[in-house]
Amino acid sequence: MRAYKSLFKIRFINTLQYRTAAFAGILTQFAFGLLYILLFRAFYAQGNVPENFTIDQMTSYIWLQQIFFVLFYMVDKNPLMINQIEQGNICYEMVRPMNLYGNWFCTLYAERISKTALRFVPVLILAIILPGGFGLGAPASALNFLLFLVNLIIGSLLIISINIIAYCLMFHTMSSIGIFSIIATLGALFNGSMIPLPLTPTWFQALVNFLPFRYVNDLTFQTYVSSIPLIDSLLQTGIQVAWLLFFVLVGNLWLKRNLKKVEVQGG
Amino acid sequence: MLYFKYFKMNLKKIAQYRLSLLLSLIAQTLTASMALLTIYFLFDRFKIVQGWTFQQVSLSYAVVYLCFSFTECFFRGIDHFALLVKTGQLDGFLVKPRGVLTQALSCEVEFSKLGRILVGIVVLIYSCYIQPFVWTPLKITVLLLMLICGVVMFLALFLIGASVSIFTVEGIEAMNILTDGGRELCQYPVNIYGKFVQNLFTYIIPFACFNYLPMMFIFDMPNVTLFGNILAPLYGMLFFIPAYLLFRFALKKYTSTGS
Repeated sequence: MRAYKSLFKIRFINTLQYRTAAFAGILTQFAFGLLYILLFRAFYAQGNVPENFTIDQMTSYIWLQQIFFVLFYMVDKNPLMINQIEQGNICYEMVRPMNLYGNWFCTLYAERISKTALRFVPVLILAIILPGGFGLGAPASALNFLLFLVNLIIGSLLIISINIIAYCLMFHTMSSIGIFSIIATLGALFNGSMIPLPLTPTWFQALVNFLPFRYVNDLTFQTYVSSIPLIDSLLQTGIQVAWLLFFVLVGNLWLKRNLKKVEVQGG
Repeated sequence: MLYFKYFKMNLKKIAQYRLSLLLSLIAQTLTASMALLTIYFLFDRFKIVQGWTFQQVSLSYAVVYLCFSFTECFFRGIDHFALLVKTGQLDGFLVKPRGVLTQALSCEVEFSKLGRILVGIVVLIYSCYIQPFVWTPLKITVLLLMLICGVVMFLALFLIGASVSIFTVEGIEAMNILTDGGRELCQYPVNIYGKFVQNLFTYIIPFACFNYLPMMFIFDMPNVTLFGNILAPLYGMLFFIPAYLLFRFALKKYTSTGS
């Protein structure tokens, strides 16, 4: 456990160095947040607004998406890990007295948390102080907020476990280029990053309930703005945990199988 | 021409990784169709936005998607200009008897983005096909002008990014707000975002010139004028001039990083 803790710390501090990138990220998130809100407001002005997703709920949903953008974006391309798989440096990892799954999980998690820590406060402040109904609203209730925090933590773990599945797939394609973008694109559609899920047709909402992606972030945001009843949020938190356990288990088994097949060529 | 020699070299390079190329093509087809699907979802619920229908918005989406992909695919080198500055590759360009811009434009052709262009063309043909009106020769000419204007606009934005990177060395990620943001913004006619955004992207960065201004003519909307709407793509291309001048100015001030 101590090894994981120090690994987490190293990665966390390492990523904290990229402050300029974080500043650009803050600007980007803020600009895109505004752009999407203006866009959806134009549509809302036509009427036919879904009753469980008002303009204020939509605005808060978009801001939460932007605030936690780096925490939840679909595929984190870690050059170090891609290099390990593509170049074969993975054999160095295999001689370490440390479970590779745990090692990867820690690395990816620390980097995400650190990137989020650098960015989320400024975007949050900007989103709160925006006037005229353009800003982030308060959570629907104290209970909603508590459950939101729970969903946020489980969701951030879930995205890492899905990421590791992507890296497991990479053992078979040997290149990160295509496979990562396919997962990223499908994920972005099914988790509400391209369009808030409450605005999609009913059949589509039914479909995404059976996929893991919306439990990463959409559930978290919908809990906050209370566009689904609290009891449903609670039930879906159960599904969220089930997906997390499923992916951790599959990822562990798959990685073990892949590692058995790694052939070291020497040199 | 030099550009085509580089072009062939880049083609041979990418052909080495076929599976990866294939997967990239699939991914890009997905991206394009998913974006169109989200537009469809919104219109499925709201029917119309500020007087624009799904058919009309699909055209603005197709145009911006094709223009951006084209620029990104064939002129990738200018997008990666910061890298040339950082690694000192630019010094090599400066001593060769060719224009820096020609070399930068041709040094990298991103064929994995070729899929996007193909998809963009398919989407454009589809969206032209679903329009309820008849395409007259003048409308087709305006559409072609819109496409050229879009490519020139994005190229100009990449040039501005390149000029800035000469001074800052590190690539300016914030420039992506203009390029990627512009692509997102122009999926819809820019006047739906309200007066402020509309004016910003008509008079400062003229995205509207290949977007809603000429589209108003194509869709036979009221109050269309020859100079205000039909010729708008031609004004838009003028944006390239200040961008190019800035680039020339930046190159004059260039001091190598020494690495």
